[in-house]
Amino acid sequence: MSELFRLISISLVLIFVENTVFTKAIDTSTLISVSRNRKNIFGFWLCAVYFSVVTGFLGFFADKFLLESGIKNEQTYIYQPFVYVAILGVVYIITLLILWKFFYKKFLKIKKFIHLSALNCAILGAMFLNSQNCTMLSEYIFRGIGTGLGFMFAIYITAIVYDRLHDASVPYCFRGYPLTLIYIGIISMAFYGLASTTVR
Amino acid sequence: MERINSKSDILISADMLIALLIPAVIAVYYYGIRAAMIIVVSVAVCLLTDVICYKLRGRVRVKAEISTVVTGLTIALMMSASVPFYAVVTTDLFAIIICKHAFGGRGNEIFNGAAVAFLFSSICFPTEMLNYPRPAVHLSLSSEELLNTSLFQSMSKSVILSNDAASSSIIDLLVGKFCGPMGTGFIILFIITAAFLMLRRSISAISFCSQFAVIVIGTLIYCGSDIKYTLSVLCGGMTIFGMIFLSCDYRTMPKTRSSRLILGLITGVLTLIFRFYAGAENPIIYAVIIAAPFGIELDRKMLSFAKIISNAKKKRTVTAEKTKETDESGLNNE
Amino acid sequence: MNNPKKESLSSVIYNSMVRNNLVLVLGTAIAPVIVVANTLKNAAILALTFSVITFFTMLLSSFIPQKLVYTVRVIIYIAIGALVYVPTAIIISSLFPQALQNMGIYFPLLITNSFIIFHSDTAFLTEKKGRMMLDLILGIIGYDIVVLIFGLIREIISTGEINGNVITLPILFKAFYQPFGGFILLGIFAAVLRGILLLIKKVSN
Repeated sequence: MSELFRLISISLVLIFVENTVFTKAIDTSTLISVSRNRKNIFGFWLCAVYFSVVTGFLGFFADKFLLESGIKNEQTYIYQPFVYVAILGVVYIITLLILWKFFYKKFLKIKKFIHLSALNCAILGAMFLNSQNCTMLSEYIFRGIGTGLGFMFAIYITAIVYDRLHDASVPYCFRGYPLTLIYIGIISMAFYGLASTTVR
Repeated sequence: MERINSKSDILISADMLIALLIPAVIAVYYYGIRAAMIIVVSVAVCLLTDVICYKLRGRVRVKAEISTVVTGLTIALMMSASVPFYAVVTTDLFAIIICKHAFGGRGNEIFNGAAVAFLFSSICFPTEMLNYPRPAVHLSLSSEELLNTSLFQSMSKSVILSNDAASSSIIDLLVGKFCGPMGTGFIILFIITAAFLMLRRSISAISFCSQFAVIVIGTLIYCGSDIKYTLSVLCGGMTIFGMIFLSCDYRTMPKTRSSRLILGLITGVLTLIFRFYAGAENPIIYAVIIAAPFGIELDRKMLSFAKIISNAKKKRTVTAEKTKETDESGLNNE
Repeated sequence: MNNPKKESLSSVIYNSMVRNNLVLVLGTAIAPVIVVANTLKNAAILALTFSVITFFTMLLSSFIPQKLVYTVRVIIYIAIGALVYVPTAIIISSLFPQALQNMGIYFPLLITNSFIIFHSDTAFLTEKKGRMMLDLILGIIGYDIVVLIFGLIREIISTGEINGNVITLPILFKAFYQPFGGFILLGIFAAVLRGILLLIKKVSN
């Protein structure tokens, strides 16, 4: 039971305190483009969580393979990206094929944004971060869940103020993209300050 | 909707200004000329920056717009009495340029400028911003003399470190005589102020009360009904001050009652989490910033929910009228 | 970019480097800029790695037939990026041993940068080869210039140094060294560029 709590707390920390967008700025570009359209957000979320969990799961075996393949530790970083991209590609194509074959209507809907939710820095970044921080398969999976949900949280918190950031009353120089960056910066500052200026 | 929206911004700002002037006077009484100077500099920089920003944006500034003075005064009161003036100026500039004008100025702000700017400056200048002189030690304006003044950690920080109530007496806690920001600790005064502002409907009563209830109940549960510890939590870390002037700020408040209630609860819960689990020195600052965007979403959801309900009611009355008419016509035919 | 025959070279340069600047206007590959480019040295290494990976990935990607569905084609772009990454990583790590450590995961993440995924198809790969190369090179130069200026200013205001040499400044804004400071500063940079573009438009009108 305590192990389950530990794993859940890992996910929670990744959602709020060590959010990949707010603390590492990973995949801010995707976040900005996705937050424009609130209609597709839910589908995007589901896809992102699915890909981060599945690639997290397979990443565990990839890391094991790299460790056992005799490649020197300092050279892992050279070959790791190719292995991860291969995993991501396989998962992506298999998912597309399954959707196309069995859920064609869903496939047509998802087609517009599935590449954004699968092939982005958040998913690939999560695989790299997992390899640095995890040793057990369960940790890989729960970190995958945490990263996916954290990315969701970041998109949600940006999407809810989209209208305000693009409002006509905002000065032209700041309207849209510049103000979105400042907005994310302020939220990120609150999380950073919380983690760094805490007394304990 | 509460009357807060129909009341003019200027009147609300005037009420807030009156409410802030009293702690400002007490801060000057406790810390002397330096506190007065910090207040003057903060307000002046805010006003000047605001005027320049309006000019640059090509918009007309309403002469009676005193919300900028309120921001300046709020920032000044959140400062340590020994803070260097450049930190005050940086905070003011950030609050007015980035948090107010970059977001579209009056009415379009997402965050409370004072809270965000304070956080920014406290990360830029942590030693200068988060160390405090003892109260009732009058500080001079000279920076050389200031170097000889002993500075201490805030009461809030020592309470978190020791996990025990503040060492100051209850009377000292009530009158704000402890190490901390120069104008945020006078709990008795702030409770009276909150009552005054709620009666005048210048702050949202529903939001303030929900936050207050959550924080007090949560703290009592956490510390096992230790009254002094609860008082230490409320006085320290700008809790009560933040609830009145940062969290219930009408500029960033949602429009509907229900969203204000929920936002108050969210802010209260976040404050508790940040205080007791993350050990943040000024938890209300983080809670206010993180909760702010949810206020906008809550408003949107509540308004659409209210629309759905009113539409359903309209439909029901229309169908009821129709059935009544058909019944009546049926009776007439019979 | 739309009509190559009518555009002069200066307007091509202006459009690719300034008006459609990859960082400040299109918001491409901003994560490493926000996190890594906090000193001039780091910014220079980022500019170099981004240039190499993006240029060769795009160049090779231009040979992929456009008839292929985009949803599938995009994975091939990334696979090419991953292939390009291997020799780049070997060369960069032999030239600047500390560089990869400084960049951390942001170096391999350049493979999936949004320029390759989003903008490649809409702005570059549909053009003729020669024009594509010109736009690509100018776009990358625009990115590099912004990253270098950003890194330099960030280093000065947050640490009071230029490439490790101390300069005396009355106030330092340590916050800008952190990722959130990077977000805010980049937002301000983007706003300033918009202001300049607006001014140029007004003057030319």
